[in-house]
Amino acid sequence: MSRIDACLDLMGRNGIDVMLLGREANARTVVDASRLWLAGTRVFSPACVVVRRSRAVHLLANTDAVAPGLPVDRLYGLTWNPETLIAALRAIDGVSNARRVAVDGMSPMARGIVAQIAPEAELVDAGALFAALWAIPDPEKTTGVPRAAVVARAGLEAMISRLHPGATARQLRGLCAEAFASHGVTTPAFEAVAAALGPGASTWLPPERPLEEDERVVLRSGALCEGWEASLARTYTVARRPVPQPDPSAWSEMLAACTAGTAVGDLRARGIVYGAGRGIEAWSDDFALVPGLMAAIECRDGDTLRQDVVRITEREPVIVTAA
Amino acid sequence: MTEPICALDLERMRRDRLSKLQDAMEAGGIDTLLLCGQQNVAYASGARTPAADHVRASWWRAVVLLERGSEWPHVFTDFPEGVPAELPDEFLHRAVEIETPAGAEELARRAGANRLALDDAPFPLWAALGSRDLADASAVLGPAKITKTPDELECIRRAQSINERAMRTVRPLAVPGRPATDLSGAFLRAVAEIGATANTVDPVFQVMPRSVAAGPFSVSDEPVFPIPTARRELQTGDVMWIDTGINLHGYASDFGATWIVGREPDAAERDQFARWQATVDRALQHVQPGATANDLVEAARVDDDHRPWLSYFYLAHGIGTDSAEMPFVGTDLGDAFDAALILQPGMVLVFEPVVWDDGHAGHRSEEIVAVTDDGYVWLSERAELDGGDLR
Repeated sequence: MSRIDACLDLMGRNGIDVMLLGREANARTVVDASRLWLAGTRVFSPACVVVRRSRAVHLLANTDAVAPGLPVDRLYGLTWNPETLIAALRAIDGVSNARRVAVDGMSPMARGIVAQIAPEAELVDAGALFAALWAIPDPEKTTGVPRAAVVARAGLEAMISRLHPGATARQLRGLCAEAFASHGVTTPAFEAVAAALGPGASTWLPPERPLEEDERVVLRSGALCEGWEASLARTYTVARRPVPQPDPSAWSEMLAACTAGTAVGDLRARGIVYGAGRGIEAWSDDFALVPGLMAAIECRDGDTLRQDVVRITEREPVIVTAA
Repeated sequence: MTEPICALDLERMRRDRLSKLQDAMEAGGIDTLLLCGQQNVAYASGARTPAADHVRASWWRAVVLLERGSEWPHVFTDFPEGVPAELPDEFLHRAVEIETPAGAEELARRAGANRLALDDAPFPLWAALGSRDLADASAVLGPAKITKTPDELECIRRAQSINERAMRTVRPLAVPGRPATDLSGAFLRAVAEIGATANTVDPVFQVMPRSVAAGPFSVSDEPVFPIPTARRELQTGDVMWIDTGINLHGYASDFGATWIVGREPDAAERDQFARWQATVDRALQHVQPGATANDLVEAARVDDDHRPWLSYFYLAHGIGTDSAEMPFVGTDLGDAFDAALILQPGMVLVFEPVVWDDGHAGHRSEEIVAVTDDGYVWLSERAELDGGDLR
């Protein structure tokens, strides 16, 4: 079953007539949209519409160049005028009389707009549907995430190559972005980080000061490549020839536990875990791993931190972000 | 070179912003302001989170609760090192996971039962707030953000300056045979090295078609812009539209330009640029307190009825913690909207008209000014055809 068929099937099983989606990862999931990447959160707005009855996806975009294969009559154009947006969405067959509409965010202003688009509709969370959708093994994910992993890895190598005394986190971030671009990738999962591993700090927002000789530093690289993400992190000490640090004490145990059937909650006792795919694919504690899924796992102790993306199999996991 | 607006004082800037928010809450009868959008969180608290893709940023978001009359906002974050040092400890809290029902309910409880304004919520938080009568936070944020303090203007000017300096590194690389994505890489490296806090948008280096018909399908029969940069080798004669933006101390830049690849601009391209600049200059003659957005639209109009910009964007937009925010000038909100928008000192205008000669492509650049007591001051360098002396 294709991804959109699986999505429509889940909509049917949950009695959802229409989905109004604002999150880019969700639009990527249903239509391979590649609209302009922007950093950070953005206010909810119905920027992608899925209608169960017509089996159609409609996209807020001025051109099909950002969603190849989408019929152009399913595009609705950018507008600043809520009345224009409401009219465009009401004109989509199956929207205005929808009884149950799933959304992936909301605001007081958007609520007023949605009330005019689908006046009778009960609103429900689209999050559960996407969690179920992402849990279905997807051959495109199995090839897409490793492609992103190659790029993320190249970014990390570029940072390692210049992890010298006096370098700044900003310089290393720039090198990582440049390495991504040499692979044709200009969008990150997150901007690269080189941050000291210390108590009380997150290791995500490095200070401005230059790095010092022998300082222990976490390097993080994450790429978003053709709509798929992969990321990794390693710990090094700063030197003319940077020295890789051993894995955290719980790493091999956590890695070994990443097999089909393991509950995510059990892994979380050892570190951080989430799905890697169209961005972060959130997993609940009781979610059991399935072969073919990609798990981002991260483990740290007082001295060192490591993060990789692994492919879940029936036996040992395969590290897709390894060298 | 642009001139500094003031000696930048970030703590004063944050204090001034809070004061404006408090005034707006008082005026709007809002007791509690609940902010989940990261640009709004940054505005109210100065708190920073890592620059990340949309959904990751949603999971990582910091949240602000500001109570009417409080000197400080409550900040909930996983990134305490991103919070300004002056925030008292009792206002700094561990993150609440508002993407989950448990975290959302915890925050809803913290928000109290008074009159609440909210900017944006993941659905679990929306559900946890239930049937409460919520005001849209724009009622508070709009009046506060629409004019900038001198410190905010200086942040925008410096952000723009970093963006412009980075383009000096990039322009010489725009040569035949070079993949356009290499320019993005060089730009991202340069802005990081020069001092950007973060990058905010995938840099756009888009080769434009000669005519709309020769380009990708367009819902509005106008040129389609922006489209994410393709890994395509540049060719002699390509007309490339550029659009980039970075973040400095929470403030956005916005750089737009038109470059010609591998040859000097021809007479038609020079004429397009002259007409582009004349459009901005006509509008600038009206930039002063008391003028309306409609005055700028009327001045920029050509031959009575042609609006030389993309109908799905604007003649000009504001910029601040968001890369495009109020005031909007010449949008599809219509003449009445423009007529009601009155320029005030501290408003910022990013002009981005478009001159398009179907069959001969066109020109698009961007220029930024701030409204002063008696006119305007430049926050960007003036646009130059083909990068001017950057080549």
